[in-house]
Parts: sequence; structure tokens; C-alpha cells
Amino acid sequence: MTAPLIFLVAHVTYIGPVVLLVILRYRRFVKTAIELGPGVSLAALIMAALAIVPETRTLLSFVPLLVVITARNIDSTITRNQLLSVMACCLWWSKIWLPINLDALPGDRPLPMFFMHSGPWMPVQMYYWQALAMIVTIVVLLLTFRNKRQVQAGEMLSNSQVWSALMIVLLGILPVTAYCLGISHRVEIERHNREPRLERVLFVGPDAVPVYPATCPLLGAMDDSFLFVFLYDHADPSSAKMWSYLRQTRERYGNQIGFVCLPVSSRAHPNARRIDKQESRQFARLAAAVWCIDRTKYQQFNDRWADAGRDWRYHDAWSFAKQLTEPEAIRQVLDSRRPDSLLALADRIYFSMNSPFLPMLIARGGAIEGLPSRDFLFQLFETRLKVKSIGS
Amino acid sequence: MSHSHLASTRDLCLLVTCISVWGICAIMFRDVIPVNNGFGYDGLIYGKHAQADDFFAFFDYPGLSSQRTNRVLPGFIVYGALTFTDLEKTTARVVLGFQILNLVSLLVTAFFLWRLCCLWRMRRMGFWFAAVAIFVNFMNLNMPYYDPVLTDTASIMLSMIVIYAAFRRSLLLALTAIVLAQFTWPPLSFLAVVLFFCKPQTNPLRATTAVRLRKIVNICLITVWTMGLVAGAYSVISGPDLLAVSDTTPIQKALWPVTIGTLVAFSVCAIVPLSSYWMSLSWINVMRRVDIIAIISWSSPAADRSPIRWRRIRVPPFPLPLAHNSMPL
Repeated sequence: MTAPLIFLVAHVTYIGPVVLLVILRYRRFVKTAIELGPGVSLAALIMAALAIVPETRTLLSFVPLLVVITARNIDSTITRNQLLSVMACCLWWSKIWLPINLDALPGDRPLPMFFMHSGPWMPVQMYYWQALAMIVTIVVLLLTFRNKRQVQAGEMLSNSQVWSALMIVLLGILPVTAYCLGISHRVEIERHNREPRLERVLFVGPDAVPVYPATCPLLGAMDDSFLFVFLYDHADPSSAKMWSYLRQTRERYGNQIGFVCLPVSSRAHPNARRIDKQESRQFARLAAAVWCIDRTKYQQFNDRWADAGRDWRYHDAWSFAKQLTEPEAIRQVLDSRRPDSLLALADRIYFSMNSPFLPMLIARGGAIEGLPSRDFLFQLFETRLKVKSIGS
Repeated sequence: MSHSHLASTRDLCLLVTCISVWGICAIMFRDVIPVNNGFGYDGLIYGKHAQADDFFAFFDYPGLSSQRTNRVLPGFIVYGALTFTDLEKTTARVVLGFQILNLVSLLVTAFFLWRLCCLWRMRRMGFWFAAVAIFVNFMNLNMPYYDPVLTDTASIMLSMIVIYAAFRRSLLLALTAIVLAQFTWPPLSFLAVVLFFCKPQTNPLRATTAVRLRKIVNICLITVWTMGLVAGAYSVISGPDLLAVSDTTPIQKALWPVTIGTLVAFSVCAIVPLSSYWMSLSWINVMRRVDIIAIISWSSPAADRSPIRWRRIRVPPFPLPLAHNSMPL
């Protein structure tokens, strides 16, 4: 539950405006459900309680019931114009006009146009746009299903006024939303000019957070036999030690084991009070910025960090980053939100692990937490993963 | 109300045509999810299962959870179709197989929706409203063709069948749907049980009972939805860090117990006594309908000597004439 009433936005996005119609005609809906018997009432009650789950797919069994109750309730009163309005709204919300395979920004969840229909993974930006569109739809439905007696008494808009308002909404506001959702996103993608590569996905931690190695810093290659997620903190000396172990692992086992490296911001670190929180976060953003500018320089940046150990301060990191890449490019990336999205992914995995330890090596089946000895690490890889060193 | 205003076969034909045309267009021109070569996230196992050389040997596949083994029916149908036609089980063909299966599921859903509307003697407008509400959305216009290797569309079809069976009081149809649901979307059984064994009212509820039920529904809804609002707002206000850990905040932890507690408390107070009364009547009604009992009764020698003759109640043959569609509720 990451935003107010996100479940409602998700249901409207996935099922359509019939959900809003149920809310607007709530009393009549309940009355019809009760008329249809205790079974339907109980099912409707369960449906209403489970509606708080933002993933609409879990409620699929109840969708036909919701529709038939609403249809039975509305059957005796619905007019042709009302039906056409509902149809227009449904067509709009069905997103048949929207290409779904648009690519994501670096570090973001891929396929944003697909995940915008699912509450738990809905991008925040999409949530706000869709909530706005939902409010517009509520207004349209309110105008469409208004009380006839009030209209005749002159208290509400006439038919022609309602249709004019509807046309203005459809021709004006909604295409603007469509533009913002679809086209602007595509333009933004083209601006970043990155190639879409989504061949491999890791599901990490108890929440199965999807991690796309193609969109993250990588020590190794995407087609390595085993890929671990490495969570670390630049302000943590044991993380630096672990990095050197991982480099030795790569030298020892070659392309058998690779690591997706995600810098955790200091806010996630349980011992963050003892270190300079601001500096640690700046470290992580700087490392992510170096990776965004030139992926090949990321390892050099971290190698220097591992060599320096406790003496590594932010001004050292900054001057080294300036040697590696263009200072102006770094400033531009640091001013954007691109490093933050990578940090957010790392934080999300870290919190889902619910562990105080860093560094952390996470695989699908488990995690290595804290700093083990190098020999222990090698032994673990050889016994559990059955990998062999290149020399042997 | 004249019969010309009621939902007719012509409406069904038009709906089926619309669904078919859109389905074929979507299969031909719509983009498909690029993840796992079109199998998608959840569909990877279903797709691999349909692609396996031996469907039943695949149950030894490492990592196959019990949750997924309960959803093997659509994969089995695709597997069976590809095996029967002796086609090579390529990824593209499996995806296409699921797309066609989804299209067929939608057509079956449309048919049972129409049957239900006929049963309720609904107007054409009402029927088309239901059709638009159930089919014109992301769930049924895009998902069956964009991310086809799932069991969602099949479960919607089974859900529609269960609802029709419940109002039609057709035990055989409901049992068939429940059995199929066990291998497609097991939670559907709960809906079937709730709908089928709480008999639709022959007489309207007493005014006091109706008011009581309405209050219960209102209180539950207000409680649960307010908590959803508060929990979401709390996550936003608390800052970006808590967005990531929102599922461990105290409100989140309290959400489910309070939701379930609310439901249980009100069910115990009011709904259970009410529904249990109707449930007992439903059981008697259902038992009278079970054919196997009738067969036993007819074949038993004791039945011939019994002064009480068993009278089988035949379900009117399909399709029902329009005049017989007015089943009292």
C-alpha cells in the first residue's frame, strides 16, 4: 500500500469504470445484492473486503459477479446515451490505444505501461496520472447518471450540456493524459538512448523483487551461470573488503559467477548513525552516476574504493570520478533522478530482507549476510553451486 | 415489457462477432510481452509445462510449486492441442495456443453472460451494459493477448459459469466448473460454495433483515476502505524510505487482522444465522436435484415398495424458449 486508495486506482485501471459506477450507485448496488439472496450478499461482502488488495488479478473470480449485480441493478433504468457514455469510458480505460512495450528508464522497473495496471508495482507517476483520470471519469459518470427529476426541475445540467461536457472531456483532457502517459514517455526513453535488453530477470528476496541485470551495474556478464545480487554501502569498510573478494571470485571462477552490484544508501544502514549519513548517500549516488555515464568505469571506481579502504572520503571519490569521466556529465546525472532509482531498488531489496547486515550477497535460494572469510566464500560456491576454479 | 426489448440471440451473435474480430486483430497485430520470449513472468512455468515432451513428467520440474500445479489445465489444453495436431511445440506456437484458448474462453464467457441475462429477462441495454463492463477493459481486451500464458481468462470464464449455475440452480454445471477450477483457479470454489449453497430468495427479505444486512456491508466497507486510505497516506507522508518498507509499518501489520476480524465479527453476529437458515433449505433443494440419488432410488427394490414415489425434476432442455426464462428469484 504505497499510496492512498491505490487499490481503487488499480481496480479501475484493470477492470474499468464499472468499479466507479458501483461506488456511485452504492446504495442501489447493495440493495440488488441483498435482493439476490444471502449468498450474493456474502460474496459481495467478501469482494468488498478483499478489494483492498491492490493486485486486481487476485479478485478475478469476483469480477463477473460485480458486473452482473451492477447490470441487474441498472437494467431497468439505463438509456442508450448512458450506455454509450459508459462504453466510451470503458474504451478509454481499456488502453487499447496504448502500446505496452515501451521501455523503462535506467534502474526503473521495466515495462512501465504494463505494470501501471497492477497496484503493487504501479509507478508513482502513473498512479497520479491515473488517479487524475479516475476523477475525470467520476465526473463524467456523475453527469451521465444524474437524477432525471432534478434535471427536469432545472437543478442539473440538460442532456445537451452533458454531452458537450463529455465531448470536451474526451476530446480535450483525455488525449492530453494519453500524450503524457504514452508519447512523452517514449520521448524520454529516446533521450536517454539506451538499448532495451530484458532477457534475464532475477527475483530477489522474500518479496521476489525483480532485478534486471541489464539495467544494473554488473560485475561479470549477463549470461554468467550464476548471478548474485551484491548489496553494499560505500561508507562501510566491510563492503569494500567484500568487493575485493568478489573480484577474486571472478578471477578464480571466471564467467561461472557474476554479481549485480547495488549500492544501498546510508539511510538503510542500521549503523548509519555512526557514520556520516549524507556522505554515504553521496557516495552511492556518485557511484551510480559513474555507472550511468560509462559502465566500463564503474569497476575502476569501486576498485579504487576497495584499495583505499577506510581512507576513502567523498572528496577523494569525487576527484577520482572526475578523472574517469567528464565532470559536467557527472553533475548532470547527479542533478537527475537516475541514480536515485538505482538506490531505491537497492533499498527495496534491503528492506525486504529485513536484516541488519551489510554487505549482503543474495541469490534466489538464500543470502550471505555480513562479511565471511574469503576461503569460506570460495568453499560455499564450490560446494553449493558446484563450480570449479578456472585453474583446475 | 415487449420481447423486442429483451436480450436476444441477435445480441449474442453481435457480441461474439465483436469479441472474435478484436481477438483475431489482437493476435495478429498486438504486441506481446517480451519477457521470457512471450511467456511473461508467471507464465514461464505454464508455458514450459505446455511445451514439455511429457506433460505429466513435468511435475518433477524443480521449483514447481503447489500453487502452480493447481493451475495446469490451460497449459494441458494447449499441450494436448499441439500434441494432437503433431506440431512442434515452439515457444511461438505455445503463446499462440494460449491466445486462442483465451479467445475461446471469452466467447464462452459471453455465452453464459447472455444466458444469465435471458434468465433474468434483462433488456438489451442491460445485457450490453454487462457485456461492455466485463469485456471492454484492460483485463479482457489486452491481457488475454498481450500476456496470454496465464490462467486468468479461463478463471473468468469458470467464474461466469459458476454464477450462471448458481442462479440456474444447475448442480451438474456448477460441479463441472468447480472441478475444472481446481486445476485453473482453486479459490473460485469458495465463491461457488457461497453462491450455490446460499439459495437465492424466493421471497423478499424482511425489511429489518435487509436494513441489518445493508448496515453490515456499509460498516465493513467503510472500515476497510478507510484503512486503505490511511495506510496509503501514511506511506506517502512518512517519506520515500517508508515507501519501500510500507508492508512492515504498524498500520500495514494491523490492516489484515482488523479486516478479517471485522468480517468474522459481523458474520457471526448477523450473516451466519441468516444464511444458515437458507443454507439448510438449499441443501434440501440440491439433494433433490442430484441425479445419482434418483438413480439409486429407482434401482433400489425398496423404492418400489415405498409409498413415496421419487419424482425426478427434469431441467428444461437447452435452449430455453424465451417465455420460460422467467425464473422467480
